Amino acid sequence: MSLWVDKHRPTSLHKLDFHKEQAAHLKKLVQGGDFPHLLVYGPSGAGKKTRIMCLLREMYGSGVEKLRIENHTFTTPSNKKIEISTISSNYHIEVNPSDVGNQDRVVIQELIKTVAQVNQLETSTQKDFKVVILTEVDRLTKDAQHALRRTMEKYMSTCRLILCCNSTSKVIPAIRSRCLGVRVPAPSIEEICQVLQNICKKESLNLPSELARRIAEKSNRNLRRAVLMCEACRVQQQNFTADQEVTEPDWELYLKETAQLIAQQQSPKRLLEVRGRLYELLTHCIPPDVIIKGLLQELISNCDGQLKTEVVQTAAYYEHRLQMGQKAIYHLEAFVAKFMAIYKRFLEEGIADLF
Amino acid sequence: MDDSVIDLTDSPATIFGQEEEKIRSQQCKQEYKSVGNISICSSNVPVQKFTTTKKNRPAFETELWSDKYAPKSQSDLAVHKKKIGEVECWIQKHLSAQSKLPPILLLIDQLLLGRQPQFSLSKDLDDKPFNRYVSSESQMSLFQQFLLRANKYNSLGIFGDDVSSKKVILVEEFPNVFYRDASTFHDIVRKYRKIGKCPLVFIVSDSTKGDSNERLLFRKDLQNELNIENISFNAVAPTSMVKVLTKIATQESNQGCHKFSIPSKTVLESIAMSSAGDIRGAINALQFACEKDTGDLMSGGRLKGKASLKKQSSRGSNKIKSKTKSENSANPDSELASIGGRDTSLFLFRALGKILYCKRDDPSNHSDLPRLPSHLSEHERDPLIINPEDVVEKSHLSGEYFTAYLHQNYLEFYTNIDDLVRSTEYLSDADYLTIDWAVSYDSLNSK
Repeated sequence: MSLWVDKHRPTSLHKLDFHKEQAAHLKKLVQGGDFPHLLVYGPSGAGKKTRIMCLLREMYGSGVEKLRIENHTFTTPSNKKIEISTISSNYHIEVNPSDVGNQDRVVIQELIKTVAQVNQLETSTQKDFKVVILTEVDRLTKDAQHALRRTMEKYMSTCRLILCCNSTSKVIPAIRSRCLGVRVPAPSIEEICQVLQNICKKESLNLPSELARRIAEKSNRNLRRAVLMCEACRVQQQNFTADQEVTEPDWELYLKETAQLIAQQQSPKRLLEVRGRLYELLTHCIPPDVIIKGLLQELISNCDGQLKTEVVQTAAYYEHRLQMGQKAIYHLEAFVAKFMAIYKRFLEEGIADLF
Repeated sequence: MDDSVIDLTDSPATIFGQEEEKIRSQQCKQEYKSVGNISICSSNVPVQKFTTTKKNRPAFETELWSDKYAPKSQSDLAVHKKKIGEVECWIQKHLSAQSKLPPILLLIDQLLLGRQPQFSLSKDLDDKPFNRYVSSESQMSLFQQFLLRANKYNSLGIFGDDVSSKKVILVEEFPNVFYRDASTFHDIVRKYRKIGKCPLVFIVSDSTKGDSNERLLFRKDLQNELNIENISFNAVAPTSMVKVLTKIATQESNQGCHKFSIPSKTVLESIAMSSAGDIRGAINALQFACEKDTGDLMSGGRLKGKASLKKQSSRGSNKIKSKTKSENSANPDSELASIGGRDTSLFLFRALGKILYCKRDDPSNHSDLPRLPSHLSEHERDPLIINPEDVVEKSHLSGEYFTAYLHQNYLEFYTNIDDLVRSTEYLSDADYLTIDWAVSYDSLNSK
């Protein structure tokens, strides 16, 4: 039994629930017979991957749904072996090069080369190019992105790239300019409610519209999360009730607790504790920008009006650092330390005013 | 190694001094030479022959200066007089005493100080032949045999000199087996203690910290049990080292195989500094440097030599003295790495400690130091004693690793949140500034 998210994922462009106009555009693009490299971007849970798979199906037929997982081994110039797993069909291959960290350049070059050097088998019935899907392109190192740029031009005749990322800000302009950008915005609350209702109908369940709305609001317009939360509610209770509690992911609670710890006490010792918790979150694959955003939202509620601007400015500064830097923990910690200092000064001033 | 052979060799004739020639020649060294050891001699074999007709100058260098100028008498030694006296006194005492139990002495030093020549000299004065054990690979049974045989028989009087009945057994190296199994070694020593006749001297180098050979092979309880005496040596002082180097350089430029101008004092000083107390290394470095003109070493050497002089002269108060002393071991290094200075790389946690427990000098000692402009005065700090960049370089870690380790450990050093903010800011800055260095990570990793 698969999760609802996977079970009820639309498989063709006309079955998509929202952004239908865009789906129509994509359909026209494919019907034209050829298409340029694509750069699909948008927040997580907006349906980027779903759209890409629909597109491929539109192009190659149901053959793309026969997936297999393969493990590839590459050797770096320095003789280090790196392994990466890919998901592929006869027509496409999907890979997340940032899995191998700093060695992603090798993966980009070698993998695309091997795929692109083999021509499509039946050019009479099929398109004469293959598709390489690269996910999390914004996490690639600069090195890898430049390698990608060269590879893109070199193998244009035999393969098309579909790049998938959350934000184009970390993709170098050279790549952006070589791709057709496709922005997939997050679904609105209403659209999420509609999707949830549809899924529940298929599962022959009755979802109260209030509950659907609450789930949609708690999901931060992340459809994947909304569907998962909905399924979690179903697990708690066989039949939905309107006033049912919607459980939040435990890492969010953990993040809230962390924010409370910061607000309670401001000392190096406490910072050490907080660092431990930050590491905990990072090792559970919570993206650092989500952490800093979550922390800020919690911490800002403790702050006075004039303090808010200062805190938000600090957060913005370190969020930028996060995007530019390499190790998230330095910047997260710097933000926490800075907040502690600001907040402590604010508290001390408050006490001084009292007397 | 099983194919070790017993070799009866006389000491090389070149090292004989005039006075001691007679004395020296009577000592016949009974050496265990493993085949591997022979390669040492190969450096003496000239690879290329070329003929020049120079008066009084040998056509080519046949030996290392460190061998050529091995000290020939007590006064040549660069070690402190007191220590020599101590060793001499001990030997005198025990040779004359003829006590029932053979005394055992342990000579410990931090680095290669050339104890062995020194030791042979102190012996020479006494007219004692001695037996040496030189082996790194021999089995423990061979070692035992050696000890017992050397104990039993006198040295051979091959050269027709009178064979003295007084002798000392000197053990320079230990078979590797003993490092794994120290207890058999202890048994052999105990046995020797029972049946031995003559004084036994071990030489142990204590260059490695922590689990040193000395502590492994000669545990405290064993030392107490067998009444082993200890004499330890400090590193050779730079001043006496410079003296030795100057002497050698002068002599070589006059009589050596090729002409060269005598290196300047600053060059000699920096060689002495960079060798960190290893006199043999210093002499070798000198020989290597003199192969070519030393003029090119001047540019860097002069400046730094001066700096080091200045440092020495500024050792006013006791406090500063201790500081400079502690840093002396690490500092002299980069100066003359070009001619084979010692490996002064820092162990990871030592390097971290150097940053975390950062030492700063009194600003009054550095009056010529540039000051920050007034608007940045809050960033003003006392001058650093160590250069952080040197520390990172010597740790042989990539900057990324080093900052990661620093980051893990720095928090404990703060009590005030405001100070902490600044250091977290710096770490964040460092990460941001080093993004473009990530490329080198690959090549670093591959090593």
